[in-house]
Amino acid sequence: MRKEVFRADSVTCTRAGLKLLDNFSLHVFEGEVLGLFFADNRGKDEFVGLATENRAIDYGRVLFMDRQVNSYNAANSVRPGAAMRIGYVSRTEGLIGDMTVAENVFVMRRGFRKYIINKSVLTSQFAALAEEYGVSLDGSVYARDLSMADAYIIQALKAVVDGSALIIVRNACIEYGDPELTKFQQQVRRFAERGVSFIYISGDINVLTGVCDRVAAVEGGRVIRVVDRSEYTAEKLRRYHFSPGRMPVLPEAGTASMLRFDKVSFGSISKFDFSVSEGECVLLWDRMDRIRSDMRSLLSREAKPDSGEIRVRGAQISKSSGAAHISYIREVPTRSMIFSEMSCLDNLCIRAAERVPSLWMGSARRTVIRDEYRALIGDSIDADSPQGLPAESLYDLVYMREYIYNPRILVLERPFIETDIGLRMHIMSLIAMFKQRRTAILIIDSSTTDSAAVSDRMLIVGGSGITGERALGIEEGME
Amino acid sequence: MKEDSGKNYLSRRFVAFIVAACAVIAALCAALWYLYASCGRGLVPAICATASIPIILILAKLFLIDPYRETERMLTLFSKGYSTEGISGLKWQMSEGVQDVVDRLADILLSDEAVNMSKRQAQYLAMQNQINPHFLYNTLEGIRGEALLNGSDDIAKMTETLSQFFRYTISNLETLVTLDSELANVRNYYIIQEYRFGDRLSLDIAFESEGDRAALQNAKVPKLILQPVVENAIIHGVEGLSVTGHVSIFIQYTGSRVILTVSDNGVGMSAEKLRELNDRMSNIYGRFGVGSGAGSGSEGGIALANVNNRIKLLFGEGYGIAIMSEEGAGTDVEITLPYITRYSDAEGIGP
Repeated sequence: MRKEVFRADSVTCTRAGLKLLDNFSLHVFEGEVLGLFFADNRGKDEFVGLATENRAIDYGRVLFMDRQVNSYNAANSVRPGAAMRIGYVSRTEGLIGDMTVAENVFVMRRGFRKYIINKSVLTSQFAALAEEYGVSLDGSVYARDLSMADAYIIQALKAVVDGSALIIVRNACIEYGDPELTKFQQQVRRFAERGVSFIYISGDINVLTGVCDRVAAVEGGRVIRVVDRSEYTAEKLRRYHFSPGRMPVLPEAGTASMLRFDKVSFGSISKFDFSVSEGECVLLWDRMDRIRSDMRSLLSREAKPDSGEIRVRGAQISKSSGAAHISYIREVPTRSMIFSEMSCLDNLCIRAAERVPSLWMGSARRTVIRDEYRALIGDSIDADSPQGLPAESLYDLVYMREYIYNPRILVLERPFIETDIGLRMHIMSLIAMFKQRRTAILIIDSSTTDSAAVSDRMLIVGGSGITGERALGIEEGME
Repeated sequence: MKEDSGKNYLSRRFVAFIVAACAVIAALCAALWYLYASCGRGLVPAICATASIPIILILAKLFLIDPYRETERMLTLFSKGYSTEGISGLKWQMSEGVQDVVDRLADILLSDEAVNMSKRQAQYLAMQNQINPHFLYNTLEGIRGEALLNGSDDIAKMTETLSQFFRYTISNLETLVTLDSELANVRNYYIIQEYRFGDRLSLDIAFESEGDRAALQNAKVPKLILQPVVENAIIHGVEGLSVTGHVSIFIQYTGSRVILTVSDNGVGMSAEKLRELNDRMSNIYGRFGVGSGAGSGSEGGIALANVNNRIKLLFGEGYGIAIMSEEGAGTDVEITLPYITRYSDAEGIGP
């Protein structure tokens, strides 16, 4: 007999007229690791919100530990948040860097009521807990010094201590083939053997088949296929594998240096020395994901380097010059770089208006932009608001906005994170447009799986700065 | 098509009344404040009248508007075909008359008449009325005897299997049977089909563990839920294959539920067809073949809808069938049932 921990039964959720979860049915057994692969990204946020916050649903029912906790019939639902102890491990949740591992696990949890914290007691308690779950970590280490895998393991351990019978792991940003991923997944299996269930969400089917007992493929907001471990064959999973052979062919880079880091040090960045040429795409592979915020501060000129120089087209970067030639697209730009209260056309023109302030005076120039870019973006350019538009259209808005701005340098922060296969191809074609225009492109990413496929060179970031460099071709992108 | 007579909706008149009442009170407040401002008297009445507006609005929201909206939402779900359960036990009813109509409608949809109207049930009843079962069994026994005399053991075996199949299908009138007998019927059906397909078809039945097999020995399931699904898998999935078709039944037990998964390695179905089929399973009008929710549907879809229908009528909306499929990669049909060992247990589960 296998106890059921979680069951979603014909769940339908509609937001802004779009069915994000459509007759969605899923169940998870005790001690099982269930993989969720969202083929088109629809419903992922909604599902996580449903599981972690017990959000209201339009139809269906949700059961946790065989008890109905949510239903379309409000009379049969329980208060949100009170019903399900479900942990959540993701890159964004994180730990408090200035606290030790033991403090993060025991102090930062609901129900902790002590006023005086005895660190040695915490450390010894953590040691006992770690031994019980096979976690080989020292409780006195600060969370900021943890590797990515260790950080995820501690988040999961924290959820277990909190009484979670089910833990959702979302896009643990460790690359397939990385020993860190193997370490994390081995720990997940140890937790599962102790009866903790997992729902593991990832956009890489290889990551899922490496650890999950079953993998459920979700498309259009509903589960279309559940594949058991015994059926993990190339034939059954071929549809979910990403093939770099389909990516667009990129033009060769030029020689004129657009962006130059000359022994730059700042925060986590230590003596970075590299350049990006015109039309070249360079991948800065930061496996530990430590330099993103520092790079963002430097390239947007919010901060100056502690040492060294940053040059754009030979001139030192400053807020008035240099920085104006740089466009920076953050990770998951559809969340932070789209203005829902503006129309799509205004969203598109907002950056160009920095160069042409008269763009807002009258509609003639914006009409020209609309007509010119309709062929690239489609009819969504006429939408009054970006809300409800599909992901491809939103990415079009963000990238085309910068394309109109025409920067010399384009910086992309983890461009493929939380994207499905179709969307990745689409983003690659958008990047190719910038390359065609001879824009220098710098990608900052902790995973190479997709970014390497569009890059000409890869710079490997280690503790002491850039520790290695590799030239990349189409074949190399899949290593 | 009915004309939109929205102006006659009582709900709109109700809202208009509340707005008008508030406007009257607001006017009264204005008059009282004016009186106070002009002659310095009547402060308390003015304050009381002003305070009454938010109090009335809050009370109206808590005791009238919110309950009304909840009931309206349940009625909308019912009209769109999502659910019947919600309207059977509304927390706040519109009025006695309206509730009587709703109850009557629910009775019609959920009654035994509705069960008996499902096509496959009608077919079996017709067969039972038109064919004397004993005549059929005696004839088959005669054929079996002749076959044995002539040394045709294969034909004798097939005739015996066919006889057992018909006995189970036609003669046994019970709604619930043991899981073992339902599986035995599937095996008989497979033996019959094996004569047609030979090595091109295989069937595998497995429990998740031996403990589950023992625990489910007395489990009761609705009669004839597995054979139609297996038949569907063979006809629509496996028949078109050029390689050996595999049909498997995997049985899991969770303590409160029994999950039967019928899988095949057949041709699968397109995303469009899958959506249509699953929508028909969940839409109440589709389940009863009424209105636009029914769709045109293939015979396979009707068989699955019939099984799904019976499960939901017996046990409620929390149980039934879910179909998962991909073109070229086979189909999985997951049947979820409550774990019961007596028919009386089922009565406590349904809507």
